[in-house]
Amino acid sequence: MRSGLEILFHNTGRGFLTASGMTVRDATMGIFNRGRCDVGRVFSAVESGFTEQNKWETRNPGRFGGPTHSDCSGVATRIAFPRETFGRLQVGVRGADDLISSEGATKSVAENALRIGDIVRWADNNNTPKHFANFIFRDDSGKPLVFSKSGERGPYEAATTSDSRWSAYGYGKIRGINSAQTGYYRPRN
Amino acid sequence: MHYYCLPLLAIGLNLQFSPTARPTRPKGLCLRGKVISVEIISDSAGSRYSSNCLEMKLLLQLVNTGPTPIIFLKREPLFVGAALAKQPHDFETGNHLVRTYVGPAVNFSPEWSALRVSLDRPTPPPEQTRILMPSESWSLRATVGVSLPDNPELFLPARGASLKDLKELSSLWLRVVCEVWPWNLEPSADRSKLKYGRKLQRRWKDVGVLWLDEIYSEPLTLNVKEKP
Repeated sequence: MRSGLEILFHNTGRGFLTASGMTVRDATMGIFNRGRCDVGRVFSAVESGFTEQNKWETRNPGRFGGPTHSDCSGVATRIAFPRETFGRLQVGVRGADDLISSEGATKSVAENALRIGDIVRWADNNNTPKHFANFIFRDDSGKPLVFSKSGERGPYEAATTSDSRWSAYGYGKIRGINSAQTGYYRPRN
Repeated sequence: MHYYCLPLLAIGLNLQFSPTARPTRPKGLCLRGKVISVEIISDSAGSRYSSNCLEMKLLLQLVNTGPTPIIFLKREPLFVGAALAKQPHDFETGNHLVRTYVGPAVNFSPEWSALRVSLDRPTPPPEQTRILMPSESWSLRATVGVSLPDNPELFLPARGASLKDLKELSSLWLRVVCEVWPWNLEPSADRSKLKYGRKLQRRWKDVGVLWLDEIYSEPLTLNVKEKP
């Protein structure tokens, strides 16, 4: 059975909400009846990313990649820390680590405790950060799906955290900033 | 300035910086070669969002086919993407069966500023650059992957083809793309304008052309059909 978040994901970026006159925030408030707007904010970012990606692919039919104004660190931290990243053009992978590690900014959580908007961090064998993404939903087999932008010249996309492309292209594995952490972070905002 | 000049100026700027482009074969440069092995890495998660990764090892040659020397950084090109298509001409029109792009993130680490300083010379520093003379080639090995979801229609943007679909095709073509000028070398906010790279390109023009663009390969044949 599909979760509400998964259903929302499949309506995102396909014009369903626009056609129905609803915003993502309206839809999520309807589905989840929450006072907080985390779900709406995250899915607004997802929808915006997919819309930009579609436009880019239409304008650049034979090229690979996506819009060039941001990367995974910028996308993930703007979703997780909207106030702290306001007005910043680029964050960078070290900047993302700094934001996550700031006093009281996040807590490390287990993979099975992920909530929408939480950050997932990939790093190489030297624990150099390579990639960041935001958890969006878990399917009925329990597999987490994340939203990200794969590189400064890369596409906006959704994928499972276990997708082999991450390791095939050198993003490494999901690792915490220090060895006691899981690599999954919940913003405390 | 007369105001009626402004639209013409805007059109001129748009022509200069428009990101809209198809990846035509770069003038004077050719990336060609062959696939030497193919491996299918399965995602054992058992989710309907699971993907197989088709990992391919390649032997490639970057050939200077033009009359001008071409300057590269003395580091291996970074292969960041791959796409599959039924026919070679499908790549030009974007009619891919599937494509994957996994590029580097923004990184402001000191390694990049140090490299920027060491490149900032009147001529290309030999310890940091290599020059490919006309007709010369650079042999490269690369590993690239394409992600093939079990259920491509579940993904946004839709991801085209599954492994099962590919195995049913009689012919298959691969195109890869590599980066030779890392954008992390660019210090300015809008790095896509490559201001630093263009500055060096102008400064070194008497030696050769500093290559800044991504390089798309010629289509390479690929076989993923299962042997009977």
